[in-house]
Amino acid sequence: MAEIKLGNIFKITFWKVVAIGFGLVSAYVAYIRYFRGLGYATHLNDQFPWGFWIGFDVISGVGLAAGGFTITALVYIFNIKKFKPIVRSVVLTAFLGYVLVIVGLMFDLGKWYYVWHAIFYWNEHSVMLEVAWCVMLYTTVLLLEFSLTVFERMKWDKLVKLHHWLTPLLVTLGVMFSTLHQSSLGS
Amino acid sequence: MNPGMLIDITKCIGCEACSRACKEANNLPPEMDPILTWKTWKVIVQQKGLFYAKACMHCDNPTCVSVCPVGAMKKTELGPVVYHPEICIGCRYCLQACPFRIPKYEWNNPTPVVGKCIMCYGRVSAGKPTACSSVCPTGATIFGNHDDLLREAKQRIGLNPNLYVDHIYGEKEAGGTSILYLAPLSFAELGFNTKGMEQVFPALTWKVQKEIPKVFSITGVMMMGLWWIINRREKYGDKTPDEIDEMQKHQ
Repeated sequence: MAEIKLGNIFKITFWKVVAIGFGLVSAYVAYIRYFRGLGYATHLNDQFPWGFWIGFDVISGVGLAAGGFTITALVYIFNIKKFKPIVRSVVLTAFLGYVLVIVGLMFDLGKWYYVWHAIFYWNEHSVMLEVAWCVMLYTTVLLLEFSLTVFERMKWDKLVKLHHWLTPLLVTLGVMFSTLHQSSLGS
Repeated sequence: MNPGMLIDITKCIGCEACSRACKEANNLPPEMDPILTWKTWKVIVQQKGLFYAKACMHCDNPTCVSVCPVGAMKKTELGPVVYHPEICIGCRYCLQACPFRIPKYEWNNPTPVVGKCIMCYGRVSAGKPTACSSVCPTGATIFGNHDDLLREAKQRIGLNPNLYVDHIYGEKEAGGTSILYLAPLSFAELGFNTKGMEQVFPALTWKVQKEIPKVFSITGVMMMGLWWIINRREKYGDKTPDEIDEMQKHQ
């Protein structure tokens, strides 16, 4: 692996300039969104209440995460050891995918500061409630699945042991939530 | 009492008294928008030389209520469909789902709300008629018990079959609504949504939604079962029964 030198971080390259430019524009748009409203930032209106990025969220974020539950299920439940080497990167990718979705939601929800209402106010007839819960719980499961790497690195042996014991349960929960989430997206 | 309103398009003169009364009764900002917005809950639509008032239909089985994840849209016991801004998370699913495209969103505000007619819930629950119906100068909008209004509408069609089309919009649309319309032209011509409307929309998703606990538990049991079988086979697959007994003793 190439060694990371501190000096290299500040070296200016073409793509770093592009990334910084992109970041600045995004920060400006985020400022408008949070201080002036969704309409100024996105030009959405009553005829088009949802943006195209919901499709992007679903395809990239949730789509990435689909690998998470399929590969972990293949390895831990169906015992197909061939895929074991990629499990960790797959879990991390899935986790980042879901984090992307959640971050996106915090911009997209008009009253993002009330996002926790989904935990306390239930309307079990709503497909969106199901999606919200699946996102919350599957993100938690992915975090727990990935936590093994942290436990090993920190040499918390007891937690590592507990984690190995819990793995089948976590993987099963991952399959359960994902089955519900990925299928409910159609509606 | 099951309150509702009957809107007779043949009688509407487009004076906008109803939209102005609506603004006042619901303490909305006074500027009048030409189309429904978060702060204009009732508008006059001009179509084919006719006028009619447009606002929430107050479905018996409202799609907005069914899709709202947090239950900010509520079908009250009395009948009106009301909105709770203090619960709403701003997902805008109601705007997307309403078969009549009624709820509107406050786009240019960082702390936005959804706006739609609430059938003057406060007034109606105090036994008073809605603001719009009480100011209508021609009786185009009348307030009353839904069943009486439906009877009245049928009677009007029966007495004047040449004037009205034989269709009460809202009788069967979206599974029945509290607001009923009578018209001299077909509702499609007047700009009403008429395609595939005679069904109860929340039933479409509930058909699937109600199976969730079942699917969830079956997936769980199946996966854990598979894991148990496959791991057991991995562990003991090539062992004789005696060896398995021996192994289990030492566990």
